[in-house]
Amino acid sequence: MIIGELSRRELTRRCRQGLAWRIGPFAISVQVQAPLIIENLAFLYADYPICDNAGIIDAFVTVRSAGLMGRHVDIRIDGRKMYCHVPMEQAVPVLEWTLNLCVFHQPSVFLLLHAAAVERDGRVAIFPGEAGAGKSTLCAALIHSGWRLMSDEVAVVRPGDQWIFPSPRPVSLKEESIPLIKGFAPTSRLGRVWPGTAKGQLAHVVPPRESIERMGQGAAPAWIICPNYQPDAKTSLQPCPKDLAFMQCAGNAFNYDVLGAVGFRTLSALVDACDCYAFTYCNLVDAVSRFQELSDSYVGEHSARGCLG
Amino acid sequence: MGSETRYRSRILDWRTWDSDGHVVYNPLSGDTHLLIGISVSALQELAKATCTADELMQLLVKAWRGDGPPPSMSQLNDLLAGLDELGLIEVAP
Amino acid sequence: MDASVSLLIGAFIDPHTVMDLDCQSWNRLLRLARRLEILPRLASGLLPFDEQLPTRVADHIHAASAVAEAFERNVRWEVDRVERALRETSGRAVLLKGAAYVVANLPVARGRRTSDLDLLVPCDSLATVEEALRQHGWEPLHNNDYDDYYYRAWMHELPPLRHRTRGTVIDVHHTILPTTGRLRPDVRHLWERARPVVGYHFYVLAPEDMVLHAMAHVFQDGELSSGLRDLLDLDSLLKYFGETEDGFWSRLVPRARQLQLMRPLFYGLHFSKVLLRTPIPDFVLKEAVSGQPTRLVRSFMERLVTLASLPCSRDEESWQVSTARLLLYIRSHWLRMPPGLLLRHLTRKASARWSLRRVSK
Repeated sequence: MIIGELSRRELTRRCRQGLAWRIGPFAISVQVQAPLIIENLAFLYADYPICDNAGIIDAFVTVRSAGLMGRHVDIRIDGRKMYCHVPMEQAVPVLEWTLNLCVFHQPSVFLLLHAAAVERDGRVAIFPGEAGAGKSTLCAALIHSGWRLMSDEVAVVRPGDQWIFPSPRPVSLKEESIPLIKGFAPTSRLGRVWPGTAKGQLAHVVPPRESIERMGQGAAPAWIICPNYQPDAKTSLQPCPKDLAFMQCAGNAFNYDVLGAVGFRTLSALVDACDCYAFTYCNLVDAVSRFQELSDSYVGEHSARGCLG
Repeated sequence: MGSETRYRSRILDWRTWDSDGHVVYNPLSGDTHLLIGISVSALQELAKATCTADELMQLLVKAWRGDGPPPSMSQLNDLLAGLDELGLIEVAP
Repeated sequence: MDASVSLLIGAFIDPHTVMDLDCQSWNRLLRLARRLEILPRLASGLLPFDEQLPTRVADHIHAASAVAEAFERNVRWEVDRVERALRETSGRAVLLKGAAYVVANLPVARGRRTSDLDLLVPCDSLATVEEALRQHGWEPLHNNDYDDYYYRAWMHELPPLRHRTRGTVIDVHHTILPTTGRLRPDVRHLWERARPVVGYHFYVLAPEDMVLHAMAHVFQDGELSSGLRDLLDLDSLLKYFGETEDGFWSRLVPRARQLQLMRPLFYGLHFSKVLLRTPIPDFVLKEAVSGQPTRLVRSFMERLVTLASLPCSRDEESWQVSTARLLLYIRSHWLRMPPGLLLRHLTRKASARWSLRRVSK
């Protein structure tokens, strides 16, 4: 059953007790009462499968009223306070960020890279980089151009075969990227625009249904691409030395250090398996078309699509 | 450090690809380093056998293929101090 | 005791008790362990049974075990770096607490997070040790003269030093309790029985001294802010040494008497037994009774320590627990320094916090 199949009343009831849904390999429970937040969850996560109560939950998020007027909330993960006294107008973006933290900071047997990842024809492109490099915007454009969303924030890499597993979530867009994506993909499902967060204006793009339906299907990595948005530059895809690509990924990973030798070997094998590039772009149409060429010309084994096992 | 000090490489995990950069993982520290040029050559020599700074210099000069002159003794000593600080080499007992 | 808490403690005491849990119970258990930041520790205990666990639970256990390995690696590396920094200095140095547990391969070290490295050196080596550390990249953590004076003159250690690139902190002590405190064990006794560690140039305390130091740290010097974790340390040390160290139980109480640590010993044994069911021989408990406080103090401490160390499964800390922690905090400072100094110290700390808040607004 998906969240969208619940009546608003049933959804509200379940949210009060804690509604759990699946995001790729992760099952996250959110307990919340505020109608504004529930309404937005209903929009952003309508296509997501609900977890039944018999399963293991990876993180419990609770959103509780703070202060006397009900206009602020505290947000916790597993009982630990992450954000205090968040104004209601920022609660949705902060909650979205909290759901990221549930994945980023939990121990994992996977190597978790701070990167966007998209898939086409059984091959995954990984975009490592911090915020501001333009990976979310590029990601949002690609997923409306025939690519499947794996994630806009965390590439989940399985040690052993280095397959990437999806944890597709609403893609967050900041400031100028919002009208850019609206213009590029008019059929995209964009949520409300939230003003005045620490990152300026924020909005979330709901992933295409296919990305959500196929959240259990991993795929083999093929490209590591370090994106760089430059307003007046020519679009260019330049080969990047693999040692630099390695360090870029390691420096932008959530648990590379913790995994120790396994982290090193997994990332080495990932870099072995991928063509590595630095990508400069100034407009989305050119960028998407360049990626189309890249995908079409890929010479390599076409890996069969696999399921998470 | 006295000139009789003997150094050796710690047991490290290495990878290299198409350029001259080498990524090196130290299982003891959990740190990963990107090394190029003479750091790589020095470390590779110290992985084969323990050396004093003088012995290492002789080996490096013999195998020198780089542009420009080989390093000075003072530069080599700085390099060894740096590698020791990072824990990539140690003083042999 | 809350059901989730009981389940969690049971998982530590005997992993077999959690082999047949349903998913809801596992969720409660894992959630509580995550909240208390003891999942790596729990995972280390459950790892030998991973094949009997539900798959998704086993995934969490394996992931947290990798974290436990990282904790151990970090400590061993830090010990390696300190050893390197001190290799030119002469004289012995004793590793204390977490770092000692790791290098001595004690079960208590598994999954245990060690934040700082604690080192005991002879009083007359302090200056050379400090100099050697500074030359190898450590620098003072606190920048103000007051804190510097507090540590050197009143406490029992150099001001904490932080490494400028690794960010790790080392505390160098010359005795194990503050020199201004009410209990002043003679550190020479500790040196007499300190043992060398295989593979390192460091020493560790003898088993009974290690246990007594842990108890003194928790019940004399501390405010039980890491309540359950501290008790788990004591439980593990007592169990391990009780089983593997010949004569440990017979030496424990006489040693506590010699070191004037009967009071912390009494509390350590008592709370470990009552809250974690640590197996302690009757004769030891009987002998330790002479360390107990007056009935009034004892009932007060029962309440405070139970509140502060047993977590409640509700997320928000109750006012009772916050009060208990505050009282224990005051108690620890009361035990650390004479009243006049205490008042000056607390006033100074409070006004420093106030000015910091004003600046940040």
